[in-house]
Amino acid sequence: MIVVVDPASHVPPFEQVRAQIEALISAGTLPPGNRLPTVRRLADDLGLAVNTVARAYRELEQAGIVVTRGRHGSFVAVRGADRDRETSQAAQQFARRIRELGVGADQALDAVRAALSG
Amino acid sequence: MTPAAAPLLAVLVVLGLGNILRLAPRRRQVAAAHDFARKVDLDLPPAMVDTVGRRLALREYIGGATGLLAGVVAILLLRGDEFAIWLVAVLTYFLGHAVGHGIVAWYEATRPVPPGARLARATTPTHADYVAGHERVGAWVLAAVSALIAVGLVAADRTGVLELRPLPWALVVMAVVVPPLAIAADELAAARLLRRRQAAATLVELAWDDAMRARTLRDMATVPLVASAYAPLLLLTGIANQLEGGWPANAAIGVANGLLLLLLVGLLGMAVLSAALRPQRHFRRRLWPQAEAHPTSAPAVATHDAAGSVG
Repeated sequence: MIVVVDPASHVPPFEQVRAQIEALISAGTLPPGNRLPTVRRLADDLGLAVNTVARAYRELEQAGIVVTRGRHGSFVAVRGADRDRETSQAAQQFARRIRELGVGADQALDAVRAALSG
Repeated sequence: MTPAAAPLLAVLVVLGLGNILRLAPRRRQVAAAHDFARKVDLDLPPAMVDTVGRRLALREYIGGATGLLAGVVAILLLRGDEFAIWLVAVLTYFLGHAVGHGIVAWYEATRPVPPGARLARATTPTHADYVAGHERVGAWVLAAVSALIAVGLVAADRTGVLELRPLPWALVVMAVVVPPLAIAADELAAARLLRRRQAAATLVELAWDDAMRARTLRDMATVPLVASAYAPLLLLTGIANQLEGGWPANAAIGVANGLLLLLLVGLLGMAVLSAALRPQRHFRRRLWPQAEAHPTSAPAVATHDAAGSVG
């Protein structure tokens, strides 16, 4: 979960930050809902101007990759694909537990419907 | 200062000065760097030995000096029971030591960094990443035990179960109030320190900055732990000292000494448990899990290969 900025690179620093954070999120290294460092902290750590990191965050936000929740900071956005993946994982965990309990599929689905409607 | 406190002052000064001067020779700094690297199980490249040694030495100089100053001032100002003075002097020494380490950590966050590539974490480490849960929870447990003992003794006295009067009210209030205040102060100071930057050009530099930060935060966490342990000790010794008669004629003496013994055994157990859990390596387990799982790939990775490769 490391971001590297090389001032000697031909790629502008804000783009280096943006691209690396996007890559970490795409790879799942930074999971949805994960809080990113504050703009000031990341700028301090990387020796960049605050505006440079702010621009990277702004572009990530415009792309829907990151959401900013006021004073709480910036977080990795929960997107459609993430939601589908997490739903699938939750379903698999549920199915595993149902098999362990020896409950039939119909009974399990009835329980799920009741839980969802409740 | 009472005449009886003079030997305490001498012992504190000798120990304090010894601690400050311990890392003055360069060879001792090098040895301390290697020793610390072994304790935290972190790779120490030859190029970093001097830097780590100097950073450790600076912590001991400043932390030792502020600790010694605090301890000496406590001994000079305090009056009363010699044992109580000694306990408070040791507590203030730890407090001064932790403050000194905090000052050094604060200063180091502002140190100039050579131009070139820099790296940073894309996450926000918290206090829990640097200080093990049992140390942080342990302080709250001890604070609760301290308050329970104080409130329990007052209740026993008021209901007539035990004859403890005159109760040392200052110590009762201290046992209830000081531990949670110390924990709150530690959490606030830690939060401020965690907001400071971590300037690093390589993964191993960042890992070492984490190691230093963890050491500072653990030193700071020692203060509420010690305060929470000392407050009930002082209260119980204060009560036991003023009681007359002996066990079993005076049940209060048995209760006070029994609680004191239980508390000491509990503290010893906590200390043994803490040592067994190796809290020095906690930050590695939390912040460098891959390096922890594969020690041979310790975070001595060059900057250019760093992005996304660790953690």
